[in-house]
Amino acid sequence: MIKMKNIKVLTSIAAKNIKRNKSRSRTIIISVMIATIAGTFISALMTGMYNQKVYDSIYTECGHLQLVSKSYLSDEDINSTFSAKETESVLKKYQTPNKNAPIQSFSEETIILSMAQTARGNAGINLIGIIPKKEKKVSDLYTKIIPGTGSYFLSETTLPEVIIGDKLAEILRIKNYRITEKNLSEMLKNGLDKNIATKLNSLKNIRYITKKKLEKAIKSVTSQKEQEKNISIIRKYSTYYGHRSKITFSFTNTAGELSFLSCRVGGIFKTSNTFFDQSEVFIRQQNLLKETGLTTNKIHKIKILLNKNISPDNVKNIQPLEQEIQSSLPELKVMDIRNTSPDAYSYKLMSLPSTFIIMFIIYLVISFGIANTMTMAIMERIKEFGMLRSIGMSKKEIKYMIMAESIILIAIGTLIGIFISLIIIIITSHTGINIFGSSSLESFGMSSLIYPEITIGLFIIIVLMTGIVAIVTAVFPINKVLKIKLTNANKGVLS
Amino acid sequence: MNIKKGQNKSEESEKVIILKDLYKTYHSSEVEVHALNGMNLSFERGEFTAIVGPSGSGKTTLLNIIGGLDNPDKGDVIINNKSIINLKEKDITEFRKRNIGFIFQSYNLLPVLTARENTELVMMLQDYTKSECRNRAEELLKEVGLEDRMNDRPSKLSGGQQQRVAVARALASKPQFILADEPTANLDSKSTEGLLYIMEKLNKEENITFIFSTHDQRVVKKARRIIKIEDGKVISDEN
Repeated sequence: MIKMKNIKVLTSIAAKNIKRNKSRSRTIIISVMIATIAGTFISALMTGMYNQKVYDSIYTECGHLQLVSKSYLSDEDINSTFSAKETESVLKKYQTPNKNAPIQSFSEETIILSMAQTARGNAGINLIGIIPKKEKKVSDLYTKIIPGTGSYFLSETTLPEVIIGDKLAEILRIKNYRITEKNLSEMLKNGLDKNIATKLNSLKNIRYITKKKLEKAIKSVTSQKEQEKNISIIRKYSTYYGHRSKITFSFTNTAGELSFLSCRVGGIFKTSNTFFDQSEVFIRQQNLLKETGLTTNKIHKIKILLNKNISPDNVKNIQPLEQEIQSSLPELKVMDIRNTSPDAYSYKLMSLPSTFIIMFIIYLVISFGIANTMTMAIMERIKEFGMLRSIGMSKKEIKYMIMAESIILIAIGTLIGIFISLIIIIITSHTGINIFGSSSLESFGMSSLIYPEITIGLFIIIVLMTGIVAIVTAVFPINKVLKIKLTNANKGVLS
Repeated sequence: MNIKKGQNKSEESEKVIILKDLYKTYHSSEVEVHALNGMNLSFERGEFTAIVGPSGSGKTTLLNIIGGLDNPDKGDVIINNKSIINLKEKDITEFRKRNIGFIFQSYNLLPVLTARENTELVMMLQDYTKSECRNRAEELLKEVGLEDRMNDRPSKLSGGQQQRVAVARALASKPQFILADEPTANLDSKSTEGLLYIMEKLNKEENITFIFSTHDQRVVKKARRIIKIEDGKVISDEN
């Protein structure tokens, strides 16, 4: 054991040695700082991405809990329904109007597997019958209606109104692209080059039914560089949604016969999940009843949103309630995020291990560089170490001194790195960051706009990694110094 | 303790360092150098001894072995009636810390510490209090004529001044022996003169045994005992 008094002396010498070789110290501090910023930011980005996915899964798509009839889970048959009234009476027990009631709200859904068709396209979808007023209390989908594409069940039409996703609109060719005089002037206001605007005149008033076709047309009149610079503005302002377009849905009714239902698009939503946007279509439940042969009491699913006071985003906290509801409604299956959105749940589980792996790789890579720099710096002082050992400094004390030097340097770099990353993360957690392009992440069901988040786990990992780097980087020079024969070290000979 | 049976303990007790039949050979790829070739020597307390000889004669090897920095291939080194050969790393380090002060040819001061801090360092690693360290360092630096340069770092001192700091450092923890390897090799005549005066004075006042290897005739003239070695053997030993 090194005496406390000696630790102070050795630490003070280590600190003085840091000041002595300023360029070496600067190099190490900057490397650690950059690694910390990179590691922290990437991890915060991933944590934000995963948490956003979990949030969207719960608050837009699935709710905290879902009740489904066990038979519907296996056959998805229109007749595999359960009684809405009976189930509601059970759920209302947990929704008494006091602060501690675990259930905040719930909404019944009728789900019909259906084929959606327009004159230009078709797609297999889930036609979901909802009571909009109740659905709004469990899902924030109503906030995701694309401006200018309609509303969330506010229009009055003769035909039933449906709310469809952006991706489905694209598949059914309800969404297309047109360059008009009006949107061209908007593009110019938002930074489009005048030269390009002139070139785009030849493309005016032509309907492009896909993004690819629009891009191809733009490519034919502009250079590659011009296209790269302006494509996002052109795409954004030339997008046209066929609001109030007609869609016909075909499905099998309760009697097993093929039924048709024609509807008009009331609004188009865009969530962070392209698959959800492609496959889910919402309609008032009452509009479904006549054609499907169902009654208001016959439903397929209940979506439940829980109160925040029980911290319901953590599965462990809702398990007791889940079990209680399950025992009250044995004929139904009570499901949480593990079943309703297993991908979101696995992302949540992956968050900390992936942060650890990223940080480990980044720090491991810089460790070798730092170890090399440290070894070079230490080897330059070999005579001093020879002298120190000659006058009675023990191997342990030499080890401690080199280790202290390494720890101080790495701790300074880490602290500065954390400070800078915190500033970056605080700013970007408000503004969001679109790092992977507009739609690549959405095809994986994640938002393209990421809000980085920092967790305590991340800080624990940083501290752990800093310790590992300090040890790894000090081990090489320590071994070198202690291997050199004392008689040679005193002469400055490295052998 | 590693004294062999039959040795005359009363005779050896006056001798603080006894070297018995020391051999040390350095192997390089082409040649073998016999740095010590059956060397027998002894030193008494308070000696002021110069070891002289041509380059490669074994002077530095001899000092390194006495100081516990190196081990002989064969033979024994008995200091204060204890063999220091085959001591554990920890024990030999402790032995050096408590008993031996080193003066190196190129001073080997820590450039990040001031003259006073360099002097205090070895005491700081022992059981001295902070004020004891400070007082002793100041006293020694005054003694070697550096009272006005105590807070200067080595880079601001001349070669002679740095070597005087090295002497003060070697003496700081009151060791029994000072081993100096060519201490005046890098000094001008004035600095050498000053350094020798200080070393002689401290030798007399503190009764510390000084053993130094040297080529320098000015140092040899001041020595009270001169041991000449060649090819690892003692050629002459004069008082």
